[in-house]
Amino acid sequence: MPAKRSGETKSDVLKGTLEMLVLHTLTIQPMHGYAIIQHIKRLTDDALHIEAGSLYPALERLEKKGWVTSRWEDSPTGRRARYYTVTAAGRRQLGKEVSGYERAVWAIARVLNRA
Amino acid sequence: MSLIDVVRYRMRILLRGASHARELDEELAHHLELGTADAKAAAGGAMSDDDARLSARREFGNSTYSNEERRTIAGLALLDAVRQDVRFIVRVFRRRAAFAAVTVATIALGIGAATSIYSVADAVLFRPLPFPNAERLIAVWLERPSWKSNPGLIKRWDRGTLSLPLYRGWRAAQTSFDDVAVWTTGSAIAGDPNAADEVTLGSASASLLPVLGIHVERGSWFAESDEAIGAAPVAVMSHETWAARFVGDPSIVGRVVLLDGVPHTIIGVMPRGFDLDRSGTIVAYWTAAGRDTGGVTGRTSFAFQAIGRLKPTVSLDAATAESGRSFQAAMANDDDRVKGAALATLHADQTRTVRRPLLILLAAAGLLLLIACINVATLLMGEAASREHELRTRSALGASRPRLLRQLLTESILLAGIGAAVGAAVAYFATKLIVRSAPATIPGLGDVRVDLRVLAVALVAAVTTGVLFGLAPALALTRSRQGMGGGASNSSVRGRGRAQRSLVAAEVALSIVLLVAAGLLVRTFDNLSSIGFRASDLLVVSVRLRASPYTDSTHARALYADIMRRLRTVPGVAAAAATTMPPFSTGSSTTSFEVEGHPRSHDAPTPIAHRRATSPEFFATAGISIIAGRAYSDADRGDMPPVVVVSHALAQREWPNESAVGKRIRVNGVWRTIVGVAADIETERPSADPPETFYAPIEQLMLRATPSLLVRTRADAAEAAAEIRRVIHDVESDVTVNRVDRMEDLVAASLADDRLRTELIALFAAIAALLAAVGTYGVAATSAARRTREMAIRVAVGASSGSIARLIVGSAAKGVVFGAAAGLVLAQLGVRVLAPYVYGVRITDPTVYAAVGLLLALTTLGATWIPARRATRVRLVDTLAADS
Repeated sequence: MPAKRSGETKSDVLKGTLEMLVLHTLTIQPMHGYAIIQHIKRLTDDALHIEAGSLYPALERLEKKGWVTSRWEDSPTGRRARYYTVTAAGRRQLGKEVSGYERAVWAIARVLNRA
Repeated sequence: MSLIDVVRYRMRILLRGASHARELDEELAHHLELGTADAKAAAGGAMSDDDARLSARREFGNSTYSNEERRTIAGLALLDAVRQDVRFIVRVFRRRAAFAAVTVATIALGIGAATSIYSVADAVLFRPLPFPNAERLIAVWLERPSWKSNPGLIKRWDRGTLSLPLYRGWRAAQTSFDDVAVWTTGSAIAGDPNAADEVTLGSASASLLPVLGIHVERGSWFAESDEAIGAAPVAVMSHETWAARFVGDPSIVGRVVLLDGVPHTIIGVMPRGFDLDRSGTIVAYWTAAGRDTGGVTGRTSFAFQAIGRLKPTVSLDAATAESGRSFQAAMANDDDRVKGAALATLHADQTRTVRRPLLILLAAAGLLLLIACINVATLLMGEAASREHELRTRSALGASRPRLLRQLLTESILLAGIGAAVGAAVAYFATKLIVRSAPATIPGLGDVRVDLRVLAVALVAAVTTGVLFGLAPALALTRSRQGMGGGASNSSVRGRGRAQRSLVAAEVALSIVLLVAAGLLVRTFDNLSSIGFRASDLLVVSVRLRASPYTDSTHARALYADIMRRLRTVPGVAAAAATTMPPFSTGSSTTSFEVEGHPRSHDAPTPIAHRRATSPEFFATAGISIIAGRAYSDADRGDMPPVVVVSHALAQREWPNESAVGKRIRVNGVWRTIVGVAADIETERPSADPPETFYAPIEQLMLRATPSLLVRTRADAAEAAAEIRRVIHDVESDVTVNRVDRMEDLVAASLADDRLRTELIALFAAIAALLAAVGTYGVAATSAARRTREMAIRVAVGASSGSIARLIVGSAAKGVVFGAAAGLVLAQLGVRVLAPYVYGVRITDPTVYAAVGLLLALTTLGATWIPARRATRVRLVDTLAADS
């Protein structure tokens, strides 16, 4: 694994949630890798840091599982970029993961007496 | 995810194998570009392009890792690694072509030799006979102790064949076998008696196929009633004859075929490839034994080989004892003292004479394979040593230990694989060559093939060698890397040097065993090749007389005199003679005789010698020198006092301290005067004891066999042979030429197995010696390479080039000397198995051992000289430059 950086303001993505976040992000529109990172960064005000070194292997995994597909298109900068699109199977998977995640969060909150 | 998706993804990845990597790079570049731009923007232009790029890279994390991870996920990582390894190895091999070639050649030779010999041994020795429960098929022979005193029969005294009456008596009385059968083979003229279409004819009891447990392919086999005297003549045809001569005629059963002029009704067709004695000659027609009363296949001659199917409950020993008793009882009225029976499984019986030589060859080939493996090990170790620097550099650059190990392993497996492939090709051709040059007397040669099973074994052997000997140095190497910082760990280097030297010592020791064996066999072969007469330009013409020479010898003698007179007028003929039992042709004839003035005690066996009736020109034609007295001449006619010429060996036996000339012996009641002593000749197969023989003029000695003609040619033998056939054919209507053989071919055929054995083991030994030299070279070269700096310093402080060379040669020679000493001891023990095949030279013969030692010393010196010379030329400046 690459050296992980930890900080006060940035937290690493929870294990198993990276793929869910990526899938969800891609439901907005097809994006290339850099845009995915920037999108999550913006949404969380830099609180959630996704390393490119982890994102790309995750994308490879998602594509292998058939949840996303990719194709090369011209980007606004004029350069060819690889755009990832979520597939129907990916959307179904996202639904499953989100509900699983919500159940887990609810359960954890119950344990911590916050719900 | 469905299977189809997986497949689609895989296909895409595979199809885009290379473009996948390119895409990753492009995606990465795009990402970094955007990152760089953002970094610059964030710094508000206060950042240089380079700093911005660096920042983007930092932001990204480990991009190499990311890409490799993606390749792994995509399932392309292994492909990448293998491709990389192979590409790298090809580069390594190209740079070290000599090393790669020698390694491949070593493995190929080892595998090739072992596989081809194993293929032969497998077909001949290991494959079971093609009969159900073949291990219970027993060959049964008659033991005849009285034959032991007869030089012509002694070899066969415990392999006596049966007569039909004996077989019937035995069959009725025996209790050890489910059933027993007899069979024999001869020849017959098939079809038109004048067409002279000679075929092999078998004669068998009706019980043969039931005993063997097989059935005819079509029609039927004999019934017991077919064996009766006077039964209608029937025959069973071989599948091959049916297919070739009768084009598979479906209505073959019931047709009539003339065999030796007698019409036989075909009642069946044998299964394809039925070859009971595995001689490679398939019997064309089988007839029922016993119907006929005369001839070789008749009921009165002891011509039948016996075979029985042992009852499951009876041991071979018990059956031997019981059969002996049955034979004794059945031959109670015979004057021959039958001792008993000799039994062996059919398979053991057939391979009796070839088993041991083949196993020796197999052992030799195995030894060679072992030497080859050791050699590969030394080569790989030496190679590993000289690559230490490279590997250390690669590991410093981040190559992991498993990765390096896999690399080295792939390398040795690849080498072994190529070696095995080349070895398979070698084996294929070598096996063909062996089968072609092997004597036809080896049973089952026709079934020899390099089959997949054998090849698989060879492949496994090669790859195991590669893995074993590739992995060991690789492990040592990568381990030594961990223990040391930058400099070479001296202890591990020294340890490896020692290991390498031990391997060479082992290699040398094993090579010496092979070399000594080869030396002994070559000496033996030299000795065997002296036969006492000149075989070159000598033809043996065997003829058939219309009238038997036994019944009308006067006519026969006149015929021969006439033929020889005419032959001498043929331009290509230098000399011609007639003789019964020509040397190196089938058959021998012995007779007992009485020596004048040598009284024998009553129970002592009478002396026996080979007998040969010849025309007077025999000695001159064959080139046999008369060492005392004279040869007989045309003057010794039938009406003159009977004379005889004895061989040197016979003269030595009967008159050890005096001249034999003038003495008299009585043969068949006739006293004959010895007029001369002839030099010994070999007549069957060279041996330690030349046959004791007497020669008498054809005019004076009763003819027991049809004499053959011995012709010495002046010019081309083939031309002369054609001319001889023509002369005899044109002139003598009573005589037909059976065959014309070159004496050289006959002698060579009798030596075929010795030659093959000698040549193969000599070849193996030569390869072994070469490999040992390569191994020694390898050790010297690596030791020289390792000590380059030391040598340079020695030279710099004034060491002479001679002392440097001595150092290198000495360090390699240490292993060789130790190996040689061990090898000589090993050889002393090992070559004992050769004792039966060594003739005219003791197996401890010092000259052989000395020659082997000398050869080895020279090879070793030669092999170490090149690296030693190189070592004397190193300059300190160069080695320092190499390190900076």
